[in-house]
Amino acid sequence: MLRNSGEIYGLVAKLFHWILALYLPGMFVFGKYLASMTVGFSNLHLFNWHKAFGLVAVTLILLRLAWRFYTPPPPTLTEGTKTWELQLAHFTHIVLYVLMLGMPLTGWIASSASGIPISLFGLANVPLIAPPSEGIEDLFFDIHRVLGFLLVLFVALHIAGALKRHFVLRDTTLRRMWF
Amino acid sequence: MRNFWTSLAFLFACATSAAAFPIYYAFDHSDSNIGFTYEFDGQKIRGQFPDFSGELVIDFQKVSNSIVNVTIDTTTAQGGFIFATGALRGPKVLAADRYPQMRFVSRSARPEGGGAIVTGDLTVRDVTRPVELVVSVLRDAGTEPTERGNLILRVTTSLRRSDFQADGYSDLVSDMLDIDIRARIRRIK
Repeated sequence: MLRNSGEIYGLVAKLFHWILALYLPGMFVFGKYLASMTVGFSNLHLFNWHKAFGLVAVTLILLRLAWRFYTPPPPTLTEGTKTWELQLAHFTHIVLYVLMLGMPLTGWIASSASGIPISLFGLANVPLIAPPSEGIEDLFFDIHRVLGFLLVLFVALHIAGALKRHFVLRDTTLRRMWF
Repeated sequence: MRNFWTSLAFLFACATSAAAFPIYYAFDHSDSNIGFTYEFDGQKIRGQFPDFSGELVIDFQKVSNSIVNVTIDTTTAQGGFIFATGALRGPKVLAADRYPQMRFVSRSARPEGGGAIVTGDLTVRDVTRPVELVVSVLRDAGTEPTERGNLILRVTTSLRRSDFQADGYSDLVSDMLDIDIRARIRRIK
């Protein structure tokens, strides 16, 4: 089943979830590696790869959001959970979406402000969405870094919640997102 | 035969008359190049400024009367490879959108060794610093030693990017730039 039903997630939602679950931490590690490596001719292209993959992430996240509106997810399981836990889970989901969009967008803005063109895997140059400005570049790269750490934090919170439901409450939250 | 040049240095060195004899030249852009070399990742990278304009007057009898004013378009600067070009034009180096031009205005010229030294003010990013250019005047091989109508200028100097606040990416790219200009000039009057 492709679409979500009243009880389980459909195949498309599951694919979006697990692809991004692997993709975004990968991008975080990739970004940390870029920040730490000694830049040279042999690895200069990696910056562009990070940017290009970041733009793919924006596309995936927007598609995921569109799919979510098209076919809403099943309702949250509430049995055995406290109100504040449900509120925290809801808040975490919202923040995760904001961060998932904010991360690549701030990177895109910062890169645009640097004046360095972004090539989408050599197929085309991506439009620059900010004017050349050292101030904008530095500011948005700083925000990009902070959002990265926040994303790690909220993903950890999200995983902790899922594991608690699976191993402590023993409900179907995690299973219904699995294949 | 373009690879063989004969220096016209003697024209400066052997000038015997102090009478002014200025010759006005135009740059032949099809055979001119404002190049620069910098170091990145242990390698020398060559960039260029393909678009420039200016006025040039050479007085072979009285070199101090010579004048050169050049305006260089920074928006078309090329860094040697695509990322470098973006960075070069970007806000941390030339800030080409904000400072679309660089300008050199000569202040003095004197014969020196086999050529001439031209001192002037270079303005980059609205920062003006004195610069000394080492100039050689060359003619095509096979032309008469008295040839004046069609010459080649070879101009070299070294600059520090940081002197002009164009010091972005200083952890990756050398501060020092070697400027190497080859300009064909043609007499206009």
